[in-house]
Amino acid sequence: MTWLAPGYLVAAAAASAMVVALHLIMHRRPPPAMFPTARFVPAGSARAVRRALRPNDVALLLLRVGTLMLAGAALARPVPSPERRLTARIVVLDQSRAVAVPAAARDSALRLVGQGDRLIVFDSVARLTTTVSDSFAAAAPDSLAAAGRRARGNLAAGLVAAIQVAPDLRRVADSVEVVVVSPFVREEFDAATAAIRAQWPGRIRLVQVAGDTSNGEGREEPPAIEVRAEAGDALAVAASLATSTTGSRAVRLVRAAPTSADSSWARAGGVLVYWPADDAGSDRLSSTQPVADASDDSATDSIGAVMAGSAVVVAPFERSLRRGFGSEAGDRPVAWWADGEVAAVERAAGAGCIREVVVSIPAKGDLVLRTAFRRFLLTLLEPCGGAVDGAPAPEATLAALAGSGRLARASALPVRDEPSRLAPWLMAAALLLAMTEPFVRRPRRSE
Amino acid sequence: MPAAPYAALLDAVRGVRWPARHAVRTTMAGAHHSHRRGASPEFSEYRIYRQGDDPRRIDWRLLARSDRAYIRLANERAVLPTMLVVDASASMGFPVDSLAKWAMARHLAVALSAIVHADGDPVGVMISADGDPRGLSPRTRRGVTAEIARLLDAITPAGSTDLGRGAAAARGTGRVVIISDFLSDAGSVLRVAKEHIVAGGEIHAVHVVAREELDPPTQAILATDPEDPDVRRPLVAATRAQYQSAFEQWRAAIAADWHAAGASYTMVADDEPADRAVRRIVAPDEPARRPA
Repeated sequence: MTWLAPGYLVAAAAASAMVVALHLIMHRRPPPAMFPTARFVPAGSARAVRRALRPNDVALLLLRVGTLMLAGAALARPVPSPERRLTARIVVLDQSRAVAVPAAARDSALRLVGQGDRLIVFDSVARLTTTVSDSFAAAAPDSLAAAGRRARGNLAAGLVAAIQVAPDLRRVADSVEVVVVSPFVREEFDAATAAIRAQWPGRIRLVQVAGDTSNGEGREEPPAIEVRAEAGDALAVAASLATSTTGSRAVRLVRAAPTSADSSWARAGGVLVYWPADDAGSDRLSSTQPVADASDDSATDSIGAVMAGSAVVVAPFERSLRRGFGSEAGDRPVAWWADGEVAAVERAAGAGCIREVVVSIPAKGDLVLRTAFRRFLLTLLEPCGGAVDGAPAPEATLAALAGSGRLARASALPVRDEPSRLAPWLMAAALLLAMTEPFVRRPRRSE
Repeated sequence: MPAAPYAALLDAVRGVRWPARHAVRTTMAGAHHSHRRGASPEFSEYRIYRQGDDPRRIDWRLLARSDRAYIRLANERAVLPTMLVVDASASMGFPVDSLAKWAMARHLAVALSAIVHADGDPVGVMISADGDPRGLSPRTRRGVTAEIARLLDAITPAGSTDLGRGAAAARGTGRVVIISDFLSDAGSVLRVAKEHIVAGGEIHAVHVVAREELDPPTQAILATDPEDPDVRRPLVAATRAQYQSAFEQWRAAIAADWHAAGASYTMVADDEPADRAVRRIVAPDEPARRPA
């Protein structure tokens, strides 16, 4: 048994000792006796104090000590002490599109996971954190398959999940090891990866699995874009300048509400980009409505920049805020305003995807001709899941990720405030004992 | 004959005399010096014959020698009726198991009555108990001591009493002996005693105390006054010394008051041999001071 707050237990023991001492001092009314010269006795409390060798009222004493100790034990929050071992393991399994054979990576991970270890699966987010038990190991393939999605991998997300779950292993092991099973391609590293890695106080074991070379190694395939817009549409002009119609990757850019045919086309594996020509919104794609009151100053504003990937466009955009845009289940933000609001989302649709962009293009000006806008546009025309960069990460990057030195000590991990299942029962028992004291207390002797 | 418990005591005090402290004013012939001058054999002085004197009292030899008529005067002796006023309040029934204070009071009363009766003086008893005082008027008949003993044996101390009423009932008696613990209204009985002394009477205050009152037990008790249930105080180790000091001061004050009133005061503990206490009571002390 482990006590999460042992100080309360010590305090309860001290209080119990005081109660025992008080029961050794008899505060009670002496027996009345006829004494004719009582008037000469100094007036005072009709209680005499004297020390006794044996505690007074043993039953009441035991009741009070029991109440105090049970209350102290409840406040000390006992938790079962699991069997402690030298090293516990957190396995971070990559199931993103960068993995050539997800099953093989899964098997590699399961070989590393033992009883009581933790398993985290990630692609763009860390989606599964499961305490491995015998029953889980038997069902692993199906559950992992159900949990894994062929999305772009994000190592930072996997590491964050590992750091969050590590305190759970603080009481079961002396050290905690993080093992990452991944092909470690470039697209899985971002600006946050190094900073998050620095949060982990130990080395990380890297288990490299085969990467999916069919995803390419940073070669940017030009999209074959099909634009459906009104004549003279500025975005259509920009798209034609940035793309071609003979590329290997089919992308359809529509400025009006998508039709069912568009959706079917996207499900067949295409990338449908819905970029409304105005801010009326698309009920087909989103149930969100623009801010109702157009006269409300908060309904429209101007904002200076929008970014997607590494492309940043600085311009005095007029923006209509759409409440809840980008927060639906399945939305994956792909572009942001400078203040962090989502400017474009991608939703999976069958074998393809649909992107909705809420960046209004000014009717006048040369915004669409700028290089920055071109890069921004190409980012939004990337394949589903973003551009693929399946090239292996540099050795230096991997070395920095692995780190050196010893494993993370369990004592260095933060203490997690976990609930004690025993505490409510102990407190209830203490209260029950306290309520029985009036019945156990001896009745006062009649005078 | 008195009951057997008193036999040993009476044997012990046989022959003890209890002379009056000063000349008595009664007229009946008795054993005590009388205030009057008479024709008893105990010559006192000569006085010039005055018209009206009994001629038979003229000392003819002196007349022959001196040619002047003198009458012979002698000290008269008179009886001294004695009333024993005994306190039978609840406080006298202490300790509860032995009633030692009451036993001492009874023994003193019986012994004193025997001494007084042996002197030929009338003796009576007034028992001041719960309710009206009751007892025997002073008498000299044979068996009065036994009667007093039977009367006392039939009493169990209880309740509270007005000792002053008992003493007042004895007013007119030459000698009054008050046997009490004086825990009930000592002031009223002192007032009555003073009146009696001023009137020429003799007062003996016998203060009966229990050994346990002088030296209380060490175990803690909640001391309860039997005559005042509201008085309940813890008698514990911490308060014992203060109690003994207060009780001693009160006894000293009582003694001073009685002495100042011109009475005789004797304190008797319940564990003292009764015959010794009786001898102390009847022993002549310094001449009684009559209040101015």
